[in-house]
Amino acid sequence: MIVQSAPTAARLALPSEPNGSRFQAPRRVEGVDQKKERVRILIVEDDFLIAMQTETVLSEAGYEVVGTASTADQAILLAREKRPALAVMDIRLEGERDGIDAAKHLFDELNIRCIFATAHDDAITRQRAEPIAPLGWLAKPFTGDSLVALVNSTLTKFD
Amino acid sequence: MQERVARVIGRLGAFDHRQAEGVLTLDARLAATYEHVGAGIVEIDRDGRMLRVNQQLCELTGYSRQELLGRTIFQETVPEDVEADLQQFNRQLAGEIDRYTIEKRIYRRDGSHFWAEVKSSSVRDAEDRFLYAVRVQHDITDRKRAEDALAHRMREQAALFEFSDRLQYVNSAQKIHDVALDAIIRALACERAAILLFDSSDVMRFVGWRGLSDAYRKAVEGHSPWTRNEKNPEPIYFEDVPDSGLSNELKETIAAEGIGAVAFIPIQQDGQLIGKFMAYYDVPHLFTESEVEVALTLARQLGFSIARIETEIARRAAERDALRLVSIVECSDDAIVSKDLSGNIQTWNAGAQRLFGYTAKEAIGQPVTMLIPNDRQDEEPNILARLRRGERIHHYETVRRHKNGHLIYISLSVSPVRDGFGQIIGASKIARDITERKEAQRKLQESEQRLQELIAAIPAAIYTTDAEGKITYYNEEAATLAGRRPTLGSDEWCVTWKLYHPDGRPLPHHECPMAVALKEGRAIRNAEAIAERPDGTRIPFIPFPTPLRDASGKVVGAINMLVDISERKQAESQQRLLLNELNHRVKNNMQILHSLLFTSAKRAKSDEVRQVLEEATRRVAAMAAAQRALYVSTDASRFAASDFLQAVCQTVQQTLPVDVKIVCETATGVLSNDAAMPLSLILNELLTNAVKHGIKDCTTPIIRVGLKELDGELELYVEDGGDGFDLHAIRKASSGLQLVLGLARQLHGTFQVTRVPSRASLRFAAGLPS
Repeated sequence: MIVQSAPTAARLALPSEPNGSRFQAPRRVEGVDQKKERVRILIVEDDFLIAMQTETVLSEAGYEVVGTASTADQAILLAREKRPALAVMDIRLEGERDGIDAAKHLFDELNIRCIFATAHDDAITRQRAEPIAPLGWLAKPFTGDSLVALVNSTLTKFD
Repeated sequence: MQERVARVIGRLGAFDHRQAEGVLTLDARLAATYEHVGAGIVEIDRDGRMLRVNQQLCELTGYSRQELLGRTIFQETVPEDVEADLQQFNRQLAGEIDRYTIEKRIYRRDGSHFWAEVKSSSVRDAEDRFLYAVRVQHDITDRKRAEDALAHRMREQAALFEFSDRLQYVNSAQKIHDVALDAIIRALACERAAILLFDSSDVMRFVGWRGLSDAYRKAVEGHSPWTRNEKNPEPIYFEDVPDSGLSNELKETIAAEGIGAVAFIPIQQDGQLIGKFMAYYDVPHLFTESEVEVALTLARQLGFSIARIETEIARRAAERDALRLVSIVECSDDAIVSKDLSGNIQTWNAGAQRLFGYTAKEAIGQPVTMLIPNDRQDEEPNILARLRRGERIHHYETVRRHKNGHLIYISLSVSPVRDGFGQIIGASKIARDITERKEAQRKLQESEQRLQELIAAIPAAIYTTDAEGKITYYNEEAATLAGRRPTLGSDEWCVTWKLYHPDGRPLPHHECPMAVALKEGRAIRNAEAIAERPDGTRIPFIPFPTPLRDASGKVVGAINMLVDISERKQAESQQRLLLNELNHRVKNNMQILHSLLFTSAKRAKSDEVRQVLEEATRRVAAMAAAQRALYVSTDASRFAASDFLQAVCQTVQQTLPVDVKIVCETATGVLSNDAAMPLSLILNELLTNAVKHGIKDCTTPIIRVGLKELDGELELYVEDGGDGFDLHAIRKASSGLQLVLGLARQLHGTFQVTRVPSRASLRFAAGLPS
């Protein structure tokens, strides 16, 4: 399943301002200029709800989600077409190939780097992913805020 | 002098005055007679002083008349003979006797002496007073010498006779030596004697002696004037040792022992020199021919006697041995039988009767084949043929038949018997009953067979090695586990092809647990290894090597059982996979729940609903953080306070305004899994409260959080720099606080709030399973 990004949702989902509450919805990232071209991110996640939340928080944080892929093959096709700057990658995916396979392909063919967002946060999995030099690891379950914080810091370093 | 002669005669009372006219002529004749009468004549006074001597005496003694006159006769007598003469002379002086005759030795001028027969007659006056004595001395030296020689011969003969006589009764070598020494001393009239014989190393050693010091014997032992194989050893004499041609050293040794003369007399046996005897004289000694004869006779007798006693001893020993052999044969538990070359039984001992049932009477003269079962009758011709060739048969195991018909297992040894010419005339057979041993062997074989069957049937790989680690046995399971068939007797230590440690490092065979067990002589337990088969597959296994010992405790080998644990390993890894999967699912599901609430909050139309949903989202996030901490733990039932606090605080921090800082102060101790979820929710609520109520007006808002062990309990606290709140005042209004109080009850904890400092804390038991 390929879910095209919904630019309207991204635009609408601006930080909410609850009454009397000091709590914030995920904050817009400092230094990401809206006028500049927004950083393009590919989401690779086979769970619909998680994919939707990921897309929402990244869009609200000012990034451009170029699409959501639920298999490795879709991820590669989408990446070839949309040329994202970064992929947020789940490891366990539908189909035979997993996220590490997909990430390797993206890196080898398109030089696209990844942040892994996965419940597979063990030493063996990290060792397998080592050759493709992931930009970060986000252990599930994660909050939208922690995802945005990681993407922000990764891109700052990456720049 | 004429006057004196007259008085002598007068005293004799036989003077005839009618013959006076012829006196002068007579005197002259008498004087001539006196001087040359053929006997020495001396007149002596009462002190024995010589008053007058005749010419004959001067000739006998070699002195001149002047030299003799004035000296006493006793001065001129050999001292040993003085006393007897003096005694008689005194009686003569006292008038007890008129005359006496005595034989004594008288010195010559040259220091030698001669034997004389002395007749002493006294001359007295009318009042019977002693005037002087006339002594007539005849030289009897030749007679004396002849007498001595005769006495000597008689002594020698007596000694030889006694020696021969005594030798009849002696029955030991020592006694022969004693008797011979007596005879030597007596026959040769020596003071000391010794007998020396060659020992087994051909050294001449003292075997008997008289009057010799230990030092002397030690000094001269081994010395022989003849070589061991000298054909005609001659007697050797040293008549005067200091003048002899002996070495100075030997002379000194002999002189120190006080020996003046010595004779070496060879002792022979069948023409072979076997030793010597020695005769020692304190003073120089002239060995006469007759002495030499006697010495050689003694030596012959001695040699003969020694030979006789040796033969006697040998005969007695042979007799004793023979008796002993007979007794051994009779008492032996083994059957001992002899037979002639036709195979007929000649002797039959008690053991044979016990073993075969026949008495000696029944067996002797019968063919030995009566003992042989029908199916083995061909054995006897074969045995006889080998015997004729002079061969011996050792421990030949066969079967014989008892008188009552039952069969007996025996071990047979057969040796040829030869006559005095070396001709084989028969055979001796020793038979031992080995029925019990055979039975034991059969039982052992059966038991070994059973053991092998048992080991083969055990569903575990088992193999054995000898003490050097060479494989001696393996069962089928062992071959299956190893994936190969080991070579018995050459493969070492383990049946497997290759070995590895559990961590994958190669394990050389000579360092494997079996090798250690053998080298250190102890059973090895709790080891684990991986075997690689020739096809490359690997099997984890647990070995149980155990050394085997003989009765003396010496390690003679080892047995090893290899238990294949690949199934257990697979189950373990399966379980690990399952747990990982479960963890993954839980975390993923919580992520989905979080996303669901997040999305719902986004879509909520009412602020209140959105607020409730956002609150719920944060609570789920806190629980998700706790779940992560649980997953870090390797233990399935507990987790570290530090991991937990870190994870939950990081998650909550992300939902707080940027200026609010959560500081994790301390985190110690271990928590039960049951506490994880309630505690994460409590912490989330307390942090939320602190932000809402505690630090709302602070410029640098900091919240301090800690989880520490305190008096055996754990305390979770949250402090802020604000005014705090009154628990009772707001507990009804705050759904968050109600949640905290409810969960605190669930943890059996005590919840406390203070205002200065503004602090909320929960004390609870760790609740760890023991």
